[in-house]
Amino acid sequence: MAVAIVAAVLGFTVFLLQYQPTSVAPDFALPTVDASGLTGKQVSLSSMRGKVVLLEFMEPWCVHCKAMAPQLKTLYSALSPQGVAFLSIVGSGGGTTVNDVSAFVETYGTDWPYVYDSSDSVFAAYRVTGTPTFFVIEKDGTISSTFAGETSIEALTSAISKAMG
Amino acid sequence: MLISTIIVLSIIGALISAYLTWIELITVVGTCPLSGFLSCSKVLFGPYSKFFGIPVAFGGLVWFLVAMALASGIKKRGNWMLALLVVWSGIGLAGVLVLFFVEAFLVDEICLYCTSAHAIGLAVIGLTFLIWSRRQRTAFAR
Repeated sequence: MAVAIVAAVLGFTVFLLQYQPTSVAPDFALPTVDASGLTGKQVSLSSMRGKVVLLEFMEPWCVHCKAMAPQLKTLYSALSPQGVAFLSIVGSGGGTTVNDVSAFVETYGTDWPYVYDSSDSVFAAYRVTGTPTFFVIEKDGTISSTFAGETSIEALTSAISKAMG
Repeated sequence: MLISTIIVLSIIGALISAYLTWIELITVVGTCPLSGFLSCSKVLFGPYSKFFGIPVAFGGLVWFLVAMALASGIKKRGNWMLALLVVWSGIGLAGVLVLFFVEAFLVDEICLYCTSAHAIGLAVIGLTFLIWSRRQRTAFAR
């Protein structure tokens, strides 16, 4: 009985530790996609070190990601001149292909890089379980805020402003 | 026997529909989940998942519950209940065809749970029409 309780406590502790949010944003390098398809270039998170980054994990078929797109565009217009970087990471969940990403970029006319995570490895590294999910990353590469689902522009702006210091 | 089968199938269909409705309702507002429901995410959380704000799965739940109630009433209240069930089955058939078209051609993903509910619905509809045609033949034979 005692062994079972200890095992349960240990197992629960391991479970909790697995799901602790990581403070350092895992680095990655993924291929960029524009309205024409794969560009042949890659973008890495480490290349954005020194800037505050708004990282969006999204899927083009997700109705909530579509709802956020125009709002993010407005936010980008306001914050990009201040040196904030935007990056959208698209996974392969639900059978998303490069063509789907291109169609999304063309439809919404977004101005920041979209990268394709074909193996969902970056999604897994950030423990993303739904879209959209936002991470605000500080200049030193640490995650300062996380938002799951449709998020108000005010909340995102506030978090980014806080990260900018 | 056939009526009992309709009732049992309706219960199973209602349970599946209730589960799908619950999944849609408990999911974090404004999120499309990716884990554990991977084959159904596009269907359950895409642009065609709700009808005037109500989860489509809830419509399936209502359909199965009404079908079960109508089938249960056939023995006591006779053919007019069966007639209502036939009409209800016609509505259900139209619904299944529309939903399958949406899944296959608009969403481009087939959700296993939704398809199971559709299959059970078609079985209920088929059995209803079978009972109806048998009773019609019996009535003509007299």
